[in-house]
Amino acid sequence: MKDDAISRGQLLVCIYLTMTAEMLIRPYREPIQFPAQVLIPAAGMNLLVIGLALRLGRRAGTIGCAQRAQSGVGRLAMLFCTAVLALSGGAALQDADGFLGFTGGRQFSFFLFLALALLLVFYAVRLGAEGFARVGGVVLTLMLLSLGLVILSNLRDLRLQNLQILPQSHEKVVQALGIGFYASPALLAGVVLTEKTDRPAQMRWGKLLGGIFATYFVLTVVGEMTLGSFASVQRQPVYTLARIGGISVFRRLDSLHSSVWLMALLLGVVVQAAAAELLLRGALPAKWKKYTVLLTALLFGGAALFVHQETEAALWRWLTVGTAVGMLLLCAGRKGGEKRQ
Amino acid sequence: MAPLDKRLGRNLAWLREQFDGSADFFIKEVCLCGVDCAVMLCDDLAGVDLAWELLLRPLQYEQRQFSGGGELAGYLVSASGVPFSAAPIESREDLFYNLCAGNGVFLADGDDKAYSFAAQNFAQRSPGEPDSEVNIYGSKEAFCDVLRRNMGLIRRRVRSEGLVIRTMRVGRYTDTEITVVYHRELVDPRLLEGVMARLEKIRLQMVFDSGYLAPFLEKNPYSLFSCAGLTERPDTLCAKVCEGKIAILADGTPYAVLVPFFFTENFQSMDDYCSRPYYASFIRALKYAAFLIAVLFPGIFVSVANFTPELLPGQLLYKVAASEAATPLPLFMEAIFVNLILEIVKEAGLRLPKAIGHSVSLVAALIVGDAAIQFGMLGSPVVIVASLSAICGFAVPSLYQPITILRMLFILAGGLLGPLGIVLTLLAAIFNICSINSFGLPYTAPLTPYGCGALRDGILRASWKKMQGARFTVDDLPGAKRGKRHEG
Amino acid sequence: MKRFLALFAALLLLTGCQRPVSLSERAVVKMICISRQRQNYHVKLIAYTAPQSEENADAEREILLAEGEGDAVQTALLDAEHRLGAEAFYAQNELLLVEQEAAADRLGEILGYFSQERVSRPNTAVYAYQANEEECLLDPDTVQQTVKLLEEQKNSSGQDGGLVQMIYRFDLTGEVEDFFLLPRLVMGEGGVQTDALLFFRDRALQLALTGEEMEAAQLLLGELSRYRYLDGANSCTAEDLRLEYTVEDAPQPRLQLALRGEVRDLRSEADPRALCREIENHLAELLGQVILRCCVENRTDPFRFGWWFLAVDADRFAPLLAEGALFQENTVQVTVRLTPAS
Repeated sequence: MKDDAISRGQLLVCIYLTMTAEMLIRPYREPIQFPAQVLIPAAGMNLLVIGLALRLGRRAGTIGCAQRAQSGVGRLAMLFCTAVLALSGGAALQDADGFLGFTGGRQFSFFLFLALALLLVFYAVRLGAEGFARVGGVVLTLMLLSLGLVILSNLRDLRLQNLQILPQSHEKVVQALGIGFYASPALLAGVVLTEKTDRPAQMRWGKLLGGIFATYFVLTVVGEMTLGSFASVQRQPVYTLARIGGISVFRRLDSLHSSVWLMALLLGVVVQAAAAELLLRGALPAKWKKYTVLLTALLFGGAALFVHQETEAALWRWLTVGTAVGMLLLCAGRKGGEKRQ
Repeated sequence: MAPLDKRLGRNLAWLREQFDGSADFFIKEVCLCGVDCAVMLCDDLAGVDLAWELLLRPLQYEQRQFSGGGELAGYLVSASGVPFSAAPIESREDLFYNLCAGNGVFLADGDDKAYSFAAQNFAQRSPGEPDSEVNIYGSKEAFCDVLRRNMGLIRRRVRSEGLVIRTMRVGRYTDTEITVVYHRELVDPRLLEGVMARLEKIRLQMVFDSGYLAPFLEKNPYSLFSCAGLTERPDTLCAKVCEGKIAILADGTPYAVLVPFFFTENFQSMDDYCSRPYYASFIRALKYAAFLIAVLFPGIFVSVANFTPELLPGQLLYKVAASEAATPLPLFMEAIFVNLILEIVKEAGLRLPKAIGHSVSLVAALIVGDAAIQFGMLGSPVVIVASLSAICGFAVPSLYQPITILRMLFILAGGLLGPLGIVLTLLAAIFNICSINSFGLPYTAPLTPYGCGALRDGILRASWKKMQGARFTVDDLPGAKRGKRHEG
Repeated sequence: MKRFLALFAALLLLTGCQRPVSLSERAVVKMICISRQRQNYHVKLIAYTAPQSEENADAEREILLAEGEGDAVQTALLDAEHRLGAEAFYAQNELLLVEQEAAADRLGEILGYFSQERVSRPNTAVYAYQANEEECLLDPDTVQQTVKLLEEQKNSSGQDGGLVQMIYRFDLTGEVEDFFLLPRLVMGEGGVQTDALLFFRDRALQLALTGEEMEAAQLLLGELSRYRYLDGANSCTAEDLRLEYTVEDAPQPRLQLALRGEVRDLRSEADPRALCREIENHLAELLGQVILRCCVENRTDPFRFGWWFLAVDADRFAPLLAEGALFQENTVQVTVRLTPAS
């Protein structure tokens, strides 16, 4: 792997794209049947909790993997986080395959898709962080264009009266938060990859979470204003929006949008794979270091096959728990590394 | 390096041995001012009459006598009007090199130095109009094959102090002279050091074109995109040198190599800077669109027709379906076949002699285009898509090679795997291009990492009033790494 | 490099393995008609296949009609696909016609099936039709024109195309609306047209609005922005019609509905201003009548008037809405203000 550095902005863009893709592509998640009036505050509270956690653990990203590996707790933290990222990457690949089945009339074998996707992902990992950080800029442009087009093509179908108004929604907000609380492992990858940035101690997580919230807000409101109560029974309401919108003679642009979202999802897998590879490289003994890319590929492939066989509706809960535990261990590992110094 | 002998006879014997009876080697032995001398040159590289005019004629009436070659040479160098070069030749290899470079060489008995004088009189192409970088406005001069004349074209345009033209020789058997051109005040010293280090490591047998040097200036020569640019325009070269870049020219070719080179430069031309900024910006944006169409359109068409036909508007859908029903090949194979035929036609038109070259387009249009469709061998939609894609590729000629390869890859990917194939191939191509660094500078700057340069002189072009006064060099691009110019 | 070449060669081998269905082998389904016969669903697929020669690409388009039957919508569709003779391609299908009796009885089930994400496009337009109209609607000589007209109407919905109910506009959970609203199609002189708006609830047809009431309902739904008035020698067109809502809380909850617009193409023997007043009164009366029939008599709120009350005070008005006690005779008051175009 090259010794490369990326900017904080580039890393935040990559994490933003990963989390946005998770928002858009969710073929196996059950819909949370609440209106926007409940979902948006719940999402805000979710991100607030994550923001506080990131703030408390902000120093976790300032210590490099090499330093962290000097302590036993640090190595344990690194291996655990690698497993969480592998599981998350596998779930993302499973989601991508499921999404392709939605968007296209015919679906390829999961194994073929997995082989091709892993080939791409690990080619990208080998190219280094600079590569995927720059790709993030391109994919961000495409994503913003896609989302803008989705909103634009549905403008004339927006109806204010489609927004549901519930009395006394505070309890429902707490209920929605409990049902849907999620901490994306992409944040874990972001914390790990912070060491590649120029100023790791000054990561602006608030900007990232603000951007995610703004995106969620706009998409949820537009979704409900267009689809009404239909939105709450959709697994992928934004994809439904993409299917109904059209411009001029081009009425069915959903396959264009889905291609862009798929690119963002695969970029997210690349980011998580890069973070996992970095952790593995730090945790393993020196003689294994030249095999880390291959090992990470095998881990991700194995995780994808596991998720494919044992599709667990609550997998995302396990990932949330894993992310939280991983963050804690990284902080603990950081303290251990500093004491040894 | 073997030094010259003081005895004239020994030096001449060595030269005769090296030239081994070559018909173009000319020696004139004379006695000037009481000293045995010899004037040597390669016939047709240097002119005998020039040697006579420059050296022998002025001295034939000289009355003074000298005791030895050293004295005579000293007089000729410092007190006469003979236009010898400033530095004397001290080794046999340099002597041989000067003769092959078209200089005349003077040797005197008793002196272990030789003196060269410019007597080139070989047949050469004058600087004509550029063939590959055609512009409407601006200079119509292009480099020629003679390196020294090209140096003059550069020096004439960059008259400020700081322009440096350094020469070196590469090629074991050709000893080709190359020059490295840069501006001392603008170039990054680390970049210069990196380029010179790479050039010095070249161990080629022969160098007939500056393109031979390009792979040595890139980190990944297998990448589809090259981060060493080529130009045959002096004004373009000078513009790049004034941005802190380095140009390398080789004798015998009008093309110069520019490093570092960026992706956005493929879409720039000198006409952009002579046109109105809004028009130049429009044309540049059009070129970017043309590039994307050239690369993606056939693959996306095949993918949409086979996997996601709901994208096609109703009427178009039935026309495409009817066309597919009427032809024997599936759409995917048709697309590959048509694109291959177009490449063959293009290559044939390029290589054929001019007298019959234009008949290729007639044959291609009539037989491939019209008759094949009428016969039902090919469908109109595929031919239209392929033609449109080819025309768009011509809008960005410097990227024609990667466009051709990528186009075929996308057709394969779209035909085999549909949208998944397109997405994976597109991502792979974007990852590949974004990971390229040219001497520590991102190849895709200022597009990504994004910088205001994208609006200043990347996708758009700001007006000269906005650009004046601000010194811009490649080090100002976003993502420029500090201290890593060697690795590329 | 060798690894990539090997992979490339392996990929090329795939060319023979999975050949996608070519366009010419697909039957593009353009319309689905569903009815009930005895206890089974009866499905008719109207599909187009491409003509075999390019010259006739536009002039001739082979129309396929396939019928299927089954105890569920899915089985009936599969039966119809089987009889189609070509691979059915649904991604361009955006028209679903449901026979009126079937709609009354099983519309929820039918919409539930077609609202699944992998089954059909969510912007599929749903219409009702009467059984005796089926033959005219599916006449092979006119079905292309019918499909074309309906698609044009669907794509210009909200721009005076009239009401188009798309699948995503139905509340399948029943939380917001406990009824289904469908436009009904008939074959008229100029082709297919909407002749009524049907309200279905509790497996029965609750209400049918026709003629001017239908137009008024479409105005209130925001699907029309013009109204043609014709009374003997007097005629005009009210255009740019838009609704403004104001909620008054006391003494009783009231929604002031103001319809504003411009009057154009005035042809009147009498004073134009008098004609304007006449139209205003006529529209106000008509709108009030429709509101009465829908909101008060049949306790349906297709115009989402309740939303405006909830926006003011959800805690107070939500229970009233749930009980159906919010709308009384004077709860919604309509005023119409039209100005002659300058």
